Amino acid sequence: MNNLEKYNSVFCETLQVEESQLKNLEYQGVELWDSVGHMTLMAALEDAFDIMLDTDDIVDFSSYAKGKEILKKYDVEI
Amino acid sequence: MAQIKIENIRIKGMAACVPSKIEENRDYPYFDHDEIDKTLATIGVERTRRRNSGETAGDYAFKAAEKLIEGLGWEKDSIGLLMYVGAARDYIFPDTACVIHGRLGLPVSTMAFDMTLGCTGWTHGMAVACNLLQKGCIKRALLLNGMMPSLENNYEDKTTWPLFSDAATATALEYDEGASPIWIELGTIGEKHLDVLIYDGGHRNPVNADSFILHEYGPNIKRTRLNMEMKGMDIFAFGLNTAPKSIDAVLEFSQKTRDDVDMFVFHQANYYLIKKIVKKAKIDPEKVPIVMKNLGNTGPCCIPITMVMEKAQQLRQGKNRVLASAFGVGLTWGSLYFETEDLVIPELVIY
Repeated sequence: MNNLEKYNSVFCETLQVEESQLKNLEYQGVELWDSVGHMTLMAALEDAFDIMLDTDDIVDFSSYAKGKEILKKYDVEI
Repeated sequence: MAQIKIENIRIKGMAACVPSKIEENRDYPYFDHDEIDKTLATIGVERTRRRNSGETAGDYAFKAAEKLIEGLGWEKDSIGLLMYVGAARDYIFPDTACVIHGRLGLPVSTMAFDMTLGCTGWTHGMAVACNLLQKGCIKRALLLNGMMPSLENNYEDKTTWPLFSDAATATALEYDEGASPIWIELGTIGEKHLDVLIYDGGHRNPVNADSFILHEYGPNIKRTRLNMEMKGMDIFAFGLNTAPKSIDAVLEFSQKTRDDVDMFVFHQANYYLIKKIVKKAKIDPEKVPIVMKNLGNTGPCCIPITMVMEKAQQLRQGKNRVLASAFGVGLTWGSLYFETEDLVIPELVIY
């Protein structure tokens, strides 16, 4: 599985969305992406990519698209 | 930040009381049950304790105090101070401490009063109670903490209801010139006071007809202006930014290192948050007791109730060095470094 597939898989499994919904997906844009869901998502991404996200990045991780930029800081190219 | 060195005060014991009713989060109807395992794993709370009709946190605090006094063998005439710290008060006034004073049959010479604080109710309560005792004019004190989220949160708000439990605790303090110092570090960010609050019911926004309207803030997130509202991500960021710095500050103040700590006891806000704090602060996870699975967040009771429920056996025998850290409503934070010896800890009281 490449990084994009891994990233998409985490989003789809955690937030119970289809891949077709990912492109414009934002925090609080679907039912499961609330504050609790956000922490579940962050924990899942940390496990999937073996990284530890900084506080500011956790708070700034406001969308699927933004997340890709943030993960670059952790040498995860998507 | 306020840094206070307390001398001549020993923590003699702790007790906790919870209601008998248990709610299983797996049965909570407002969680997505296809994702329930992941949700429970993240929040770390599988079940909570809920009041039965008519019960108050003051009732639980009374029972915890009664049990602790019995366990210590204290004469009631020797208790010079009774503090109740928490937002879950029996009445707007009189103070819940006065109510409990009467129920316990303490002497008229006892000073009794409330402090209204949330998550940092134990850390700040310790700062005040210990200061009042440390000159020796008052020899013994009971610091009570209470929390009643069942009357503050809305059942239909999935971002708050499943995370909290009703509870109360009692901490016994004694003047003792041979006691090791207690080191305290406290701080406040008042401009963020709106990050966790109940809007109506105080004097700023008195209760009115609109206070009872149920507003929807998202799927399965409904509350009135009389329910707690919490900016989850802001509080998360506050906790993760503040706790590690506060831990370092109190260690520096006390001239201790992480190796001088036997247990780190945290405010039980969120399991994922505690894990992040432990990693960021470079703490050995083996030294971090967690009580969230069976209780969740009990506000000002978190630190003492974690010690009672998870570390009683260790604390009853011998010496222990404890670093406790809390953060939340206000926004406020507080960390303590202290040493205990042969604590009196009765079994958990089920009301």
